[in-house]
Amino acid sequence: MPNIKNNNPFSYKKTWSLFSEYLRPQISRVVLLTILLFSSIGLALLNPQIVRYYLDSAQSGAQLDMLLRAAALFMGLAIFRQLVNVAVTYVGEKVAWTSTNNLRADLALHCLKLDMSFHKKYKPGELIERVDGDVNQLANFFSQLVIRLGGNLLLVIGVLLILGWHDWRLGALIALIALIGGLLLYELNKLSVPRWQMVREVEAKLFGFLEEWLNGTEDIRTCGAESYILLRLYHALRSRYQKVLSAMHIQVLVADLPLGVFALAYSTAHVFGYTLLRNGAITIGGVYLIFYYIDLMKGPLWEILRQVEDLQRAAASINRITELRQIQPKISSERGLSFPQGPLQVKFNQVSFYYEDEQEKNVLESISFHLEHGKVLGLLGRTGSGKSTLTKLLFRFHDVTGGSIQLGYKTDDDNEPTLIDIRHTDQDSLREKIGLVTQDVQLFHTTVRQNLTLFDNSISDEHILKAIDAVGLDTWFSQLPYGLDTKLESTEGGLSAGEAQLLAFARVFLEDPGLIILDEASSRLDPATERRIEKAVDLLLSNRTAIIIAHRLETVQRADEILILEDGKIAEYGTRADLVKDSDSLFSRLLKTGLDEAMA
Amino acid sequence: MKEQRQPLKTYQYYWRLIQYSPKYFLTDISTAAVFWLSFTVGGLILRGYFNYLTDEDSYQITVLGAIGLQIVYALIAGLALAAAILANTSLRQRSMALMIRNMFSRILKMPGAKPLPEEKNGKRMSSGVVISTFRDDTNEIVNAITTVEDSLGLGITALISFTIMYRISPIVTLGTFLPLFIIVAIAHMLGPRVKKYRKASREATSQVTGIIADMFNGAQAIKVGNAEERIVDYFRQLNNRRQSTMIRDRVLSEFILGLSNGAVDIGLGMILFLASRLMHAGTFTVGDFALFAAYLWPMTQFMRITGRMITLYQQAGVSFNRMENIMQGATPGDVAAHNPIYLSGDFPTIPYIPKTHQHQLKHLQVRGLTCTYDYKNSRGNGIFDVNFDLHHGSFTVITGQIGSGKTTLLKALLGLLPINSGKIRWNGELVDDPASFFVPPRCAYTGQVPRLFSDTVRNNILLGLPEDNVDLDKAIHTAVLEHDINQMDKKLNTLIGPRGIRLSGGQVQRTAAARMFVRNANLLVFDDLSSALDVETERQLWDGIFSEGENSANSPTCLVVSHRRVVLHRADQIIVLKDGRVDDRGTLDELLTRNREMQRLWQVEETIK
Repeated sequence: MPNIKNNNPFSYKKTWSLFSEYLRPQISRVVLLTILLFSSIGLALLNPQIVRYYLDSAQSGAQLDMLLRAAALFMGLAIFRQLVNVAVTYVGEKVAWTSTNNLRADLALHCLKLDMSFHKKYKPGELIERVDGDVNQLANFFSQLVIRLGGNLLLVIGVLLILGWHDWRLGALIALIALIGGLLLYELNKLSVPRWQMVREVEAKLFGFLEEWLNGTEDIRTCGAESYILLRLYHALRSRYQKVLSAMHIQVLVADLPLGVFALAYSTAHVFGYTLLRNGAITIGGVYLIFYYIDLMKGPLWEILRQVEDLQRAAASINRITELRQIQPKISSERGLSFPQGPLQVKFNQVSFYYEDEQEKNVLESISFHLEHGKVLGLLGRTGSGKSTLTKLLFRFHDVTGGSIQLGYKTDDDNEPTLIDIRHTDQDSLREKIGLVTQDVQLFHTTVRQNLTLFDNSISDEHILKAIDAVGLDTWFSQLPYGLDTKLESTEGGLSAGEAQLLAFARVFLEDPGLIILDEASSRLDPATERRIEKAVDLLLSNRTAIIIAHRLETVQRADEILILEDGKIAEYGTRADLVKDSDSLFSRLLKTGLDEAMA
Repeated sequence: MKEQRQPLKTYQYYWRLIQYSPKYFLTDISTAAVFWLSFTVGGLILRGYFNYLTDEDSYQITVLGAIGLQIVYALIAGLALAAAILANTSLRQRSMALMIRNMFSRILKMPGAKPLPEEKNGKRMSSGVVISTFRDDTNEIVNAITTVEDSLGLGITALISFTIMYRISPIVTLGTFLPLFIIVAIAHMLGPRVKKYRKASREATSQVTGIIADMFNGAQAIKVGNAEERIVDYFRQLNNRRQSTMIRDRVLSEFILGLSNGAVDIGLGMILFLASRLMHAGTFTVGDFALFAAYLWPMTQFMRITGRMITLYQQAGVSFNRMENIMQGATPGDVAAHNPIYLSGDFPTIPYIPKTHQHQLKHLQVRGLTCTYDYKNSRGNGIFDVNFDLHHGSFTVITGQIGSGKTTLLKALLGLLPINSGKIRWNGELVDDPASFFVPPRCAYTGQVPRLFSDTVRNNILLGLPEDNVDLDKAIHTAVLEHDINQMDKKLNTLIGPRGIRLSGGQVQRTAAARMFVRNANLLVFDDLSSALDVETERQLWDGIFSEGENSANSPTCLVVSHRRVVLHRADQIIVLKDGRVDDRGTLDELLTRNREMQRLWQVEETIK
């Protein structure tokens, strides 16, 4: 979303409300997780004490079996701690995935339920980034951040407390060294993050270029441009090399920093170990323990810093998700009237429409027509004349800004049709009763069955097979290795453009609507497929009302009525027969000059 | 992958890569060794310090000595690490760049219309697969180099550590490392399982992302079909599958991490265990213990890295195989052949071939041209035994219905597709290799779907031609592109986006045409300009080409695929193709009176218009 900046601050309120909503259902798991986490840290801090006991006992000449027992206990606890860690991972991941999957699904449904104006505004790529990218960040936040960051932080604090308990000056000094190291690393990170970002950018560019070139070898060869393209490749490779090297210069410091910090920490330990031992404040085991605990901080300290960076990224994601959840649909979808089976009438009464963000410009102006049930309306007009907008209004993707649209049906005992303003209808029922076939057929990466039924499991296979036969996809279908369970792997899915059209027809068959809107394919299909499509259209239109956005003259011959749009206004409207008779009509002229040239 | 021959052994490839950057390799491997060796010093400092504290007889280091040594140790290790990281970066980048350059340059040498190898199912390898080899396989290969170096450095370190420890106490040393070795081996053996789980979780993830993409790309279709809840239910199912595969994956990874972290703890436990008797007897000091404990980490590290190295080395073999596949018939090992990559210094200059009389076309003769590539499926038939002649300054149109082989004919002639048989003569001389012969300034070509590249308009047209030597303005004018360029905010310096996405279809076609005209070639070959140009623009374009007068020495010879009437009217010669064979040849009037196919095509054009 363009209006949301990436660097929004971390908001506890937003985070908390999101967390509590999705964590509450699994509160018992969360409690278990907390207990496990604390146990793991407790064990990590406790185990070194056994080493101290062992060393002191050995120095003071204790019984051998005491030493052996201590060794066994140490090993047992070490193994147990690793098991606890595995359990932490399991429960943590379970909590994270359960909650984020719920959030993901809720968010997806929320977005799908939003108006088309929303989908017009945000590209699919952006929404994918929200529902997948941002939620992934959040999953990371749950499972990695809370556990790792929290766990490591507690561990470091625990270590510092224990050191301070031995001698407060030692604890304070080590804390100071850790803090300085941490701050330095934080500063280095600020230098290195943008450099790595640059690396990712030049790499994306390098492979983007290569991808383009691989697809353009024909052009490169026939232009004799091989050496030029290779030169471009050298440039791209050099710039990657330079960016990586520049990032690595910082990386060297990042890698060297721990060496310095721990040399300081060890030196401190050398001094304190010696003096405390000589003063009798600690035993020799205690001295060893100081070194052991310092070592214990190594991993967690760097881990914490890495996580802090992730925390900022997660904060931005949380903000964006919250924002997205607050968007509400503008078109009310309250329960309303519904339609019976059978063809519908369509009535436009002085319909006007403008998009909210371009109020000064009417996309449609005073459109009135009446299409009797079972009739076919041919809709003509240049690109941008408002043809598709007109059909979208029928689905209530947008609501009219002036006038009204009514749909009507006849019941047996009643000769006058019942007309209903579509704003008073049940949205589900409305969309069920209107079928739409567009030029671009949306295929889903799933089975043929689900592509045909649009995930409606209540439709029987028998029914589906009938629809496949009806539209003439039977030969294609018979070649599928797993029948209805065959997956359509890619967007082409092994389907030709014509076959994809037929598949869309089959969808509409299964839907069995009373009104069909057909945005006819303008691309030229091969003649055999074209014939198959014509046949399917015949079948589809029988006993249904239809609006066809026509691109070819053959199609217009099927229409009972013709409506020509120009800049959102009706330029001509009448029955086809009348318009053909009148040689002055726009339609007659179109027939003469040809649709291609006139409508291009 | 297993059936494929591997012409060279994996280490032979590596040897070539190392020979390419010996300086960086030697610097890297020696400094890495110094870095890892410094770990043995760390242990010795602790031992001496504790011996001092417990007042042992030998090997004492005072507090001040220990501090001094810690600092010297950190300095040396830090410098060595820095040098190793930088040398390693250069080594990696040089090796990757070399392999990418070699593969890409090989691809450029293949026939232009089929540059990528075929996969087993007969389909052409997709560019995505090739890119992933460029990006991921090269990376895997250099990762193995890095682990070899680490493994070597750690190996020396481990050997020295082991010797020191063994001299202190053979029993404790051997007793400690046996279980360690077993644990690390178990972790290593779980590797394939991790990979299996990872693959499953990746697949489940890609299904989830796939359906999300579908969901929002098809928002309208879903709304129309009332399928919002239904598709989200399906989405939940996929999410659940991803969840279980993901958790399995993460828990196993954590378990393996636990094994190697635990290995250090368990090693420490073993030392405690085995040293009990010795400590009790007073022959194993606290200092000795500190040294043993300190050496545990580099020792387990060595075992881990070595295990990883073995895996990476095996994977690298597969990666090299994939590369050889892309190198399609080049001498094995050429993927690592030593070629300049210009990561520093001056870039090479692009050779420019000015047009001379030897590039002038007087007569082109094509006899028996047959090409059946790429038409195994039922959609086309290739071309068979095609004969025709082109004379200087003439305008020849190839026409025919969809699938009659028009495009194949052009591509076979230009060497973009390999031909089965046939002879092509240029001014009477036999053309051996059409691919390298039919290039500017002799010949230029614009395909049906021309490809532009992510760059400025200027660079897309010139593609490396020196701007001073060519007439860019005239080319733009002839291509009817002037007006479009004037509309752009940065004129010729406007960036056109990936594949020219910011241009309209017609602009892409005309930019490609300008790219062709600026090469000032003698023979111009067009494959159907009409799909993105309206009739009027196309007419202007032809007028521009022939503005020089049809018979001047500079006027080009044209070979064009088209079925537009404007173009057919203009033709000196029309070649009608039917099912891949020449059905007839002649002027429009001749053909319309005698050729059925031509009459049919003319009619079709009529009804469409």
